[in-house]
Amino acid sequence: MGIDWIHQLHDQLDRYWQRQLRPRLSGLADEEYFWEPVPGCWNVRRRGESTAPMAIGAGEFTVDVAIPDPDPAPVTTIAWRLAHIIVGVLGDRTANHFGGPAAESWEDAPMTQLVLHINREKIHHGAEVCLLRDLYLHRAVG
Amino acid sequence: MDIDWNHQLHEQLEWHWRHHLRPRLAGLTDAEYFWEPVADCWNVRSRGHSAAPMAVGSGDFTIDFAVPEPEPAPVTTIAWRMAHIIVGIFGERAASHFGGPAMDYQSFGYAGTAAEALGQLDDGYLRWSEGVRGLDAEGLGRPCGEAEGPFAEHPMAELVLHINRETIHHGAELCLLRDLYLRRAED
Repeated sequence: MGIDWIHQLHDQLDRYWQRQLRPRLSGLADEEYFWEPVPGCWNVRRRGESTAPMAIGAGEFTVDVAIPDPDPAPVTTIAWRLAHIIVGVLGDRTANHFGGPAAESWEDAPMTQLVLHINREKIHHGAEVCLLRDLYLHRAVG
Repeated sequence: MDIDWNHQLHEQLEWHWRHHLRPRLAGLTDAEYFWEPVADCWNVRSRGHSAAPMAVGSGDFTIDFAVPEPEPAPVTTIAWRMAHIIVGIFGERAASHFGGPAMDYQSFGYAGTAAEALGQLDDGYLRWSEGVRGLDAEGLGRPCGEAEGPFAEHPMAELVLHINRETIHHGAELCLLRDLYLRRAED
């Protein structure tokens, strides 16, 4: 059987996106988006309100970061993880490889490997966002 | 550039296992394994201690279940999610496709300690990943057969990508639960 690899690679993430991740993000409330499940979280915050070592971004909201990563790294919120997916996982790579708006140490690897990596990253962080929503739904109301 | 698809597919999961999941599970304690982050979790429990509609398993420990799944589904613990990966993702598929031992949720002997569960997880991963590594180009193109029900006619490559996706997804949940345990408000 000949394998349509483009279809297979696309389908791995598309099936996840269509059937798991995107449906489970529908109706995301602002309270969930900014919810901090434990003390000391990194979040997306209104400019000037961050206490993280660095707070970056161009608009009214900034994202908490530090270089190098603290060990152990802080737990991050749904807002922070979505920002990571949007900017780090998809945005930079779209810019580099598909003529999107904006360097990669993967330059000698085949595109296949990068696609499988991006799928893996997105599935991993998508799962975290879903679990945070589940925990928010079932949390003890404070 | 010729692409070694078998390597590419294997490496997607192997990289996650080697760099993300397995290092972050090292030192898992029994307290973390059974930790219930919210009320009314589904867990692995000592036989006779489940309040779930079903409690299945063949040994001293059972796993909480219900058919059909409640809506919304209960949050599940690290123990429950590990059992899902061990039995449902690796075990049943290794049995169906790579000659692994027969395995199902009803008859499995669930681990009562984190260390035992990590051993089961390692065994399951090894059996599955060696099976994948043993597929050649023809093997990846072979229909995955009746064991996969409505996907019987789909190529093994698709099943491998599916198992990768499932393992990455549930592995990420295990990592996040450990992070939350570490930072939880002390009781």
